Amino acid sequence: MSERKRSASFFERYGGVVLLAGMIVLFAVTLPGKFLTYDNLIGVVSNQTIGGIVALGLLLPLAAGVFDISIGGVMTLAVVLVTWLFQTTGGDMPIPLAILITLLAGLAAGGVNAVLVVVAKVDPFIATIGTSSVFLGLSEVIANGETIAKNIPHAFTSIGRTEIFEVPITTVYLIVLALIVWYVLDHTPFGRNLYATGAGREAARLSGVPTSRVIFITFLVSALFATIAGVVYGARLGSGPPNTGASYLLPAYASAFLGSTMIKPGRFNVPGLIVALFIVAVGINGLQLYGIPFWVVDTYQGLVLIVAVVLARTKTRKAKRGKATTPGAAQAEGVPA
Amino acid sequence: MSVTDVSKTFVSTRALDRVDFDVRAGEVHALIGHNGSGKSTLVKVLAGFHKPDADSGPFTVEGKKLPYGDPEAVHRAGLRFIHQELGLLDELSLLENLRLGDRYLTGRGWRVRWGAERRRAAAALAIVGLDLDPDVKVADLTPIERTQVAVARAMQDEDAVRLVLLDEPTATLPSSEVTKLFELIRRMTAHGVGIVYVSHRLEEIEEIADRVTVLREGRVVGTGPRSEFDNARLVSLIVGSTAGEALPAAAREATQVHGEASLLDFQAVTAGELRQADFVIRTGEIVGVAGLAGSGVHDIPGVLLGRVPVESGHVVVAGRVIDDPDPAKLRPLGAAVLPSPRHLKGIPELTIRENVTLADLRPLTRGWNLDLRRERREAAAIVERFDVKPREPEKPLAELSGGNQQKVAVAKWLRIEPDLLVLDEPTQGVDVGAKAEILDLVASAAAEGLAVVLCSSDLDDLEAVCSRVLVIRGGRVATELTGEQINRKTITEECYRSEKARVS
Ligand SMILES: Nc1ncnc2c1ncn2[C@@H]1O[C@H](COP(=O)(O)OP(=O)(O)OP(=O)(O)O)[C@@H](O)[C@H]1O
Ligand SMILES: [Mg+2]
Repeated sequence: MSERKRSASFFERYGGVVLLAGMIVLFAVTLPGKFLTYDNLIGVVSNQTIGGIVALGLLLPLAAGVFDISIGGVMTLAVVLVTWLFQTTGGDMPIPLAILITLLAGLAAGGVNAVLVVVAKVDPFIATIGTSSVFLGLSEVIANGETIAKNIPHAFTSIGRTEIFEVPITTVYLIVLALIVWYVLDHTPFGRNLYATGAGREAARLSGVPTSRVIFITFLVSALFATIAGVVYGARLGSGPPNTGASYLLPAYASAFLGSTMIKPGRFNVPGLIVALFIVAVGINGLQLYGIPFWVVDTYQGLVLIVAVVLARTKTRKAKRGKATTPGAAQAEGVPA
Repeated sequence: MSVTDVSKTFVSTRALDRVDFDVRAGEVHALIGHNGSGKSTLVKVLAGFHKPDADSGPFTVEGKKLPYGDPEAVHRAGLRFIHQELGLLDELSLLENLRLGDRYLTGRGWRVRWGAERRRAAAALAIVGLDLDPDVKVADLTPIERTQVAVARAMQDEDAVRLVLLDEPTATLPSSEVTKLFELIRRMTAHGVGIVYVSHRLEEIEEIADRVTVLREGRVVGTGPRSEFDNARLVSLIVGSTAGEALPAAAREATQVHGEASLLDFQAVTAGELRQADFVIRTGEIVGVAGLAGSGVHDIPGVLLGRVPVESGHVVVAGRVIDDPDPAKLRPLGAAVLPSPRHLKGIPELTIRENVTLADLRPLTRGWNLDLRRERREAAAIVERFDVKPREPEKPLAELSGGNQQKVAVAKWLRIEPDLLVLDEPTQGVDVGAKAEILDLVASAAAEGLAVVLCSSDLDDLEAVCSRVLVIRGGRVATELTGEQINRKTITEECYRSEKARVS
């Protein structure tokens, strides 16, 4: 697509892709026969599917200019709820019904966030920190503090473990969902209204954009995606450990922010997000193949998160500075201490 | 102060091309030019906000050389700026905005002496004749008050000020306020302060300027004492030809015929400054609305946009009573409103294309799909028709000059072909040529049945296209002018008549 070509340089747009390619070449050369194998590469991709689904859903509230901190809590709730439904019914509950109930519960959780933010006008950040904690509490009640592992039907776990032509099915889910979100953001009026709301809520409202409705929907979508991620996670694992979602929150934000500095810099966008996901994943994989101690991996991941956010911040700041017409900035810099 | 040989190149645009510019103590130097000619860019280079190209000549103030791109040094040298976008932070109070980036008065233990700060803020606001609580948030101010606060901020430490640069300060001000601003400027020049004054209003230049510099496409095309330039010469320098000032006088005839259907009906509406305001707007007419600051003129669009709550009375749009109007409710009824605050007219981070189609994406939508190719074509045509410069629909709106952003905003609303269009300051900051074009487009839409409410502090606009002018005084429609009565002089007299009009 030729959009925004002029305002962002080639490097700004594709720097991330170049970095990713560089890492792949480096590992391919220094780890011959280990890195560039089908099994290894498909492993890298399938490791990113759950986090990727959470991050895809998160793109919508972020693009609309609101934070949703509760996605970790919602995901945990989904993992626990779907497995618990099987356990309490002794594995008798029909699988589509269990999934449907879980998805509805996830939507309800998103609805709570949406009502708090849109109707009660609570700051989104505060509101979703609060609800996140509530959702975690609910999960603990349901799970009774233990991992739910009884009576999980085989047909359910196959949802997370099957392969299609040697491609793990979870990877297929990620690709399909990514295509849907990409289409919605870039090719529908809703996507346009979303970006407009995020870039200037009051100006968008005065142009006739239904900003409240847009924000309402984004909370439903991010919760729905976190729930899908939770269901897939439960299926893949075949059990429901309490508090799994929390560890997906920060990576989701990091890849969303890192992604917003690429492909379409300054906008939360799907291709950027995908590249960002793999910058993190390939790096970790390479380090593991070098046989580096386990704690280095955690540290690396933490460092990537920090660098990602710093990069996203400085890039947006630079973008703002270039646009001299940003009112606050103009004067704030014009009136020195 | 002087700069020589300044150039500034943005990625693809040469905004300033070897410009020389100087200001003497105690003079008013007017800087004029068409939209996008580089006026704001020059002001921002002097402010240290933009760094000019490396081959630019020296920048000196009172004989001392100053570095480029260093706002602090510029401030210390006594230069003060009122930017086109004003640069106020909405969420902060007046007091905090006045002290932005500066030190607070502190007592023992770094405690801020709020009492003293409040007195100081009140004194600064008094300079511009504002009597407001310093704790009020800027978001709650009218556009006029915002401008005044920005002026107050620039003037507050009067002793240190050597030179004040005002970038289109009067674009949002009605004439009564312009008079006050001019008094303030004269007081400052009497103390030896230099003034750089950017405006599109030639009558203001005539009144206040000692010297004039005209920019065109980033180049100085004329400079010298004001007396050497008459209006015709200025216009031809600005436009780049001898086209002259062409306001669409013919448009008025076209708007004489109008239907009976009432499109907008205010029934005893009390809201903001409005007190039981009554009026009706019908198909095909262009109705001007004029009034002093605080008369309630801008509360009419404010009410329709849902920014000013209705306390009593009824607003009827296209025959339907709308209790708490907002843009999403008005659109299905064929009504559109252009707000006056600059920052609400468009979305800077979106492209021109995205801004211009935002008000109605339905014609571009098939099922779920937004037809981007068609949108590009349509945006290209609009940019062409409204003469938006540069003609690049994929540029972010933020990179356009103020006047061109304004054209995009007007284009956005005319595109959806409403039945009723309420325009709040549609020619604010637009150059003479573009102003005539905008009014022409509005007038020809009216000839096809569009009803227009034109709230403009530029009386020439009203004179040029209106078939009726409502003068608002004390929150109600005090007089209605028609035909020959619609001229600058009568409108001004009516605005000022009966000094009961509250000055707030
Ligand atoms: N941050 C920016 N990035 C890229 N181009 C810019 C930027 N700011 C201004 N321009 C371009 O520089 C040129 C001069 O713009 P400038 O804002 O100085 O015009 P102006 O004379 O103040 O016009 P107006 O009367 O409409 O306010 C325009 O072509 C504009 O599009
Ligand atoms: Mg300007």
